[in-house]
Amino acid sequence: MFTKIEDVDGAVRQEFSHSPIPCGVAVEHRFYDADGKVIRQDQFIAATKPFVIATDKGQEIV
Amino acid sequence: MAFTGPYVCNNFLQDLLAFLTGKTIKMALYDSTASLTAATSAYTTSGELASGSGYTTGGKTMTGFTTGRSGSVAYADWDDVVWTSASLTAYGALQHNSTDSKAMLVLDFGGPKQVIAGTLTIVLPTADSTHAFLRLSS
Repeated sequence: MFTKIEDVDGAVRQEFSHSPIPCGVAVEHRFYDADGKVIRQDQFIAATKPFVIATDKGQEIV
Repeated sequence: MAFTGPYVCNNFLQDLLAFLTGKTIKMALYDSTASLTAATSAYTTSGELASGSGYTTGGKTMTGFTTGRSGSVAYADWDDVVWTSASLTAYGALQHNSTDSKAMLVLDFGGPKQVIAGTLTIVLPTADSTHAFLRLSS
């Protein structure tokens, strides 16, 4: 769901959204012109779900 | 003296990550036709976004490589990866070791992420033992 965060002279508005994704959270930021057309769209993808490699120290020597 | 168990020595964990020092590490972007899994062994152009509109095949060279360790957790991290003045749609990414032609990590964006005449930023976490992008623990 997009949230409007700013109106600029009623002509240009910006909206952003947050959405959880498998590797973190994506933030989408849209910029509109006076006609409501998206003239720019940015994406910020947070790699907040780190890759963790755990070693196995429970191996037995037989 | 008695042994208290088998251990992976803490310094060795960091040594393992230190092998990335001096390597050219890249992040490449892919569309929905890509098939990247744990079995992916090397960078592939299959499903990769085409060059143009702010993207170059092979991906963006990652900068700011750092490693560290806190106790039994070693970590590696890089600066954010940024494509500017881009118009593209990506479904995921592959971090790869370009120097040795090896695949490293697959990122799943969970769907199409479209950029229109804008900036795509993959924001990497803080470089520490609890947040870093890549952590190795025993």
